[in-house]
Amino acid sequence: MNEVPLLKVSNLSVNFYNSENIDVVSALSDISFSLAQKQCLGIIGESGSGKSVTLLSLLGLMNTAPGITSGTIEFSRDDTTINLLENLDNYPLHDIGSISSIVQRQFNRRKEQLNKNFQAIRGKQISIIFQNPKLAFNPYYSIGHQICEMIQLHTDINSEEKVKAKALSWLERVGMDDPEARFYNNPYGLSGGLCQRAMIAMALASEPSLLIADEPTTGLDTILQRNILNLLHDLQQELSLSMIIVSHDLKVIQTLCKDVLVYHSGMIIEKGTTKQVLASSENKHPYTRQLIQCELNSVCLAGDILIQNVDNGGCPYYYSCDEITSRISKTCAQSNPSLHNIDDDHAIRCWKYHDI
Amino acid sequence: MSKINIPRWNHKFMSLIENVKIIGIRNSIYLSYSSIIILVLIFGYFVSYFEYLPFDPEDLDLDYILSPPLTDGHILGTDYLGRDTFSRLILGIEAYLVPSIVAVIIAIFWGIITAVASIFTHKRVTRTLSMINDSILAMPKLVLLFLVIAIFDPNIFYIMIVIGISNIPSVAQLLTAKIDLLKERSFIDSAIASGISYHSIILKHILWSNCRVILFSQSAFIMGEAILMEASLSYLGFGVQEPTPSWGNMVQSGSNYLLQGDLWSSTIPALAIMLVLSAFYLLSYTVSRVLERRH
Ligand SMILES: Nc1ncnc2c1ncn2[C@@H]1O[C@H](COP(=O)(O)OP(=O)(O)OP(=O)(O)O)[C@@H](O)[C@H]1O
Ligand code: SF4
Ligand SMILES: [Mg+2]
Repeated sequence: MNEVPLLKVSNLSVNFYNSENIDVVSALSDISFSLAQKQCLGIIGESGSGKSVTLLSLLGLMNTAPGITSGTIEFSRDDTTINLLENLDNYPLHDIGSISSIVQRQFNRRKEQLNKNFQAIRGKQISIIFQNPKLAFNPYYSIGHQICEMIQLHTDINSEEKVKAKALSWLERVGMDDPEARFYNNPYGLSGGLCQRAMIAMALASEPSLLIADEPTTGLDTILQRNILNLLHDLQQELSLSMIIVSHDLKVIQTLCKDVLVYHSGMIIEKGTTKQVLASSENKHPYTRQLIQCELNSVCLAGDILIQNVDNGGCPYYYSCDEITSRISKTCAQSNPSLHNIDDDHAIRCWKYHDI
Repeated sequence: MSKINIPRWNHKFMSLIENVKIIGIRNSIYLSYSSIIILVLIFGYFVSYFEYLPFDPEDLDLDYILSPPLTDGHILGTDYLGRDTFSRLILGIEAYLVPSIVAVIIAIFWGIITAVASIFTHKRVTRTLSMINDSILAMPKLVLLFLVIAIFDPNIFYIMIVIGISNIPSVAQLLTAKIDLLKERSFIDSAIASGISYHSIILKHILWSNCRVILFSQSAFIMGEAILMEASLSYLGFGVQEPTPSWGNMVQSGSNYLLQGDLWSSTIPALAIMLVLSAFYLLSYTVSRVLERRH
């Protein structure tokens, strides 16, 4: 199967200034993955590891300098492939490390270029469900109004009645209890679960080919979580969508996704099919193993993951790793491992699997 | 924040009484009072524009000096030169209506530009704009006004431009605070992500839907302030000059005869000023109470 992947991200790096605006911190470094048509990709990883930043980058929503500093995001649609980060190199960000007006001006040009590149796919091809659906709606309009706006903007339906009928059918499809009444509800009048459903309806109303969901079930009770996930699963099958799901719930990833990425401190530390990564086999990054153990035992025997030292050049997981052997301990402390393929499609960023 | 939770009234027909119930009786009274006064004002403006006045406002009639209301067709009496107060009152609307609207437009327009720039342009523009605002704030309004009056002729339009400019910072601050709150939510990002164009986000999703309360109530407030300023300055002799009538200089000329017991020619324009001012201030207050929804 030599199909062109729908989305191919290579060497994506994103940086931010730190709080004092003097130093650059790396939010993402060297992220590469690809997503086949009609597939589902899961992203797991601890809080602050850059999952949301990855998703925002896919839509070019970097609001602060320096933002995306390198990489390509190739999106394929109807046999044409476009690089969404095209022409960004024309506006290089010099002297990263001190905020200067040159950098700021360049950043603004880059942002314009980004907006230009991304305008064609935002909404139309890629939709996103934000972490907190209540905050992602405009508080003053009814959800029906906002869904209608999406339909008018991105589909060919233009008669007002048809748009409304379509919006109602979406609300119905995502399992709103009373679509007719909810159509006029303001977002704050909805419970968390209903709001999430409305968000899904809005995201799908533009008929995208890729749906991105950032922790779609956070803050919902367990039953609702299942319902929402089942809904997403059904919709994916039904509309032959591709999906990227960020979730802390490994079971979710297991049931929904074929492939999975494990993030840690802005890097992919393990990637592979869900079977390879989440099954209890031997070959695994120590962090992933810990994650799975925590999930199974609900008692976590992890080290203190708050202590992180990325700058010393060693493995970012060094201080919490409990699988360092004497063979690799020196290397672990000194240099960051690269992603190493241990199997087809299965890659791990750990010196354990390198020959040293 | 008002406790009234207004359900959607745009999609469902509601009778007048139901509307009143939703807004609250007090707010309805305020609203109807303000709208009646403002409608009368606009009507009066057009009446004088097309010169349908009962008397010529500049016509001296020395037989009827300082006559009380309802004397021989002079509904509101006459002033110290026997000119018809009612006609002069109507013509006086011209003195401030359009200039005040100019003041409002200046304040709101630049306020919007400053606030919106804080989201979509980079820091240096924002910093420059807020510096300009701060320097406007630092300048006392009256000093600025007298400066302009001293430099230029006492032209009402210059005065209104000053009033407009001096109100920019307050509009900008209110809007910026609101927009900062909105930025905390992800809905601006969400709107960008769903491909809505920037001008639609700014105009519809930010300004119209979320900031219109501020815009309306501030407009009414600035309008009130502009009218008050015009009246005060004309009263002091710095605004509209005789023989052109303005409510301020009518009060002034009438007040010379107050002690003789000829109350009417100064109290009637003063009353008119009070009615109009209260209409605008009440409108400003009520608009924010009625339109502000819980969110
Ligand atoms: N606009 C920004 N400016 C500066 N730093 C940022 C910005 N956005 C994100 N970051 C940083 O990037 C890192 C990754 O954040 P991100 O939101 O992607 O985490 P996450 O993996 O989504 O975590 P969570 O599971 O809690 O949502 C964090 O350390 C965060 O502080
Ligand atoms: S490289 Fe070393 S420190 Fe890093 S995860 Fe592997 S064993 Fe642990
Ligand atoms: Mg996140």
